[in-house]
Amino acid sequence: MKAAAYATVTAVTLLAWWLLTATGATNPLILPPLDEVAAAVKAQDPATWVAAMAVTTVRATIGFAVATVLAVPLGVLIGRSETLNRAYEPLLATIAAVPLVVLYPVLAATLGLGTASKVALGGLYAFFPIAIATIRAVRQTDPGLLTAMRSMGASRARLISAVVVPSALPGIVAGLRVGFGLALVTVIAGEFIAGDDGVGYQLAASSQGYQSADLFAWVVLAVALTIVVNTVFTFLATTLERTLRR
Amino acid sequence: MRIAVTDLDLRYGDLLAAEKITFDVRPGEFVSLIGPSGCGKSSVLRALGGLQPPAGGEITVDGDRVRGPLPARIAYVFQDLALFPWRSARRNVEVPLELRGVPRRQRRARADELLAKVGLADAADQHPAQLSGGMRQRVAIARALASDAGILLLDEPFAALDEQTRLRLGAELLRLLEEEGKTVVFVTHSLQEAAYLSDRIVVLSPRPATVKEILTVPRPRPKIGSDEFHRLHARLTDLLFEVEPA
Repeated sequence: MKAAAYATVTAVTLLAWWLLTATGATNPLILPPLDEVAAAVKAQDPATWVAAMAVTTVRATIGFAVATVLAVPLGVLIGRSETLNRAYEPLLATIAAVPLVVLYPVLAATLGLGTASKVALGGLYAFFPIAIATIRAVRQTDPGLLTAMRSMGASRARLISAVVVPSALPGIVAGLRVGFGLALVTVIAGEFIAGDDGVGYQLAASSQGYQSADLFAWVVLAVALTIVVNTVFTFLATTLERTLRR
Repeated sequence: MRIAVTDLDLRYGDLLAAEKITFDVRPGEFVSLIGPSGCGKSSVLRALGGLQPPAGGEITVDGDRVRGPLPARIAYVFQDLALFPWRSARRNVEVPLELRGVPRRQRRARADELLAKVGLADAADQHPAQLSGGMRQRVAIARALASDAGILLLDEPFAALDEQTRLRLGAELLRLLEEEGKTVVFVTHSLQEAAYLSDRIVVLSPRPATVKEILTVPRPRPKIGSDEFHRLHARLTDLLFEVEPA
């Protein structure tokens, strides 16, 4: 069912692309013909695109990991406290709505144009959705389950590890998914704005040179990267849920 | 295991939930608390379980004052059962054993033994959502038994069940608890349940709950439908619906 859905969407997209370019309905500078893109993908030196993807993935992953390590415990803390929740949840939700990418020039000025500023941007973007999802999921914990666990003699730490975390985990994982997606997007955006490596830089370079086929080749590669990264993420999330919710 | 409740007052803020409650529960006895809905009978039970601090008076178990949960001596079955939805039936029953640090293999064996005792040997791997109301009820009872506590506090455990299941489970529960030599305090709003399960029945007044009368059920327990059962039922009805003297 799922495979059929994916195949249908892919086939329709490719068909539309082919029709638009083959009939000359679109400017090849804006949408290059499929075969040119395929040729451009093939012409890329695998070493170049593997390196670019590795750079981008590593940056996004580091930013995401730092954000997770900070945001999940903080979210549990805030979610468990009525006072902290009232004070900080609206604040976090507000900051999360600010387009923080405007801070990128500041980050680049302080951390340089290399990896550090991109990791910081990605981490910043991952942090808020993870923290907010964690707070909300923690607050959904059934108080009856906490009372029951307490009646069986559980310590405070045990209430967190045996009730709050497993109960909140699906919500936290949903936040992690959003956070990782944002980290990846914003690292690419950072690379696009400034720098000399990564998928974002390659997109910027081919776009600025009006090399449409190359640009679309990088888009195709970026989509492939997203699919791979998403698959890995889903696998890890399922494993985490199996381990903590049993 | 003997419970003594002396001049117990319970408060929620300004609201007086129970006043000067005094009764005792002898080892191996089955005592029911009945009273009009909202009278504070569940609050009295929570206090017995150490989940609600008294505003006055005291509760002792074998002479020791109750100041918080006493998981080694008191196990609780909650009205909403409080089963952990992400755990299988077996893993739910294992919780008190986990908290006591029982090794995994022994935990599993003991949980399976208890599930067999409540007639759920073949449902050990099912999750609560996959079980019927009556089956979930049995899992909750098995989990309470797993704590090896001498005292069981049951808060309207059959409230969500249909009448037939309720009567059948009640009879089974009684046999099981007598076999295990448990001391039981049972909160219910069903006069019928109180009349056929109890050794003694503590009748509470509307809020603030006070002890109106303590009835002793003759031994052997009157059969449902017998004249004696009807007399007891009628007496309880009178006590509960008696108009307070102006």
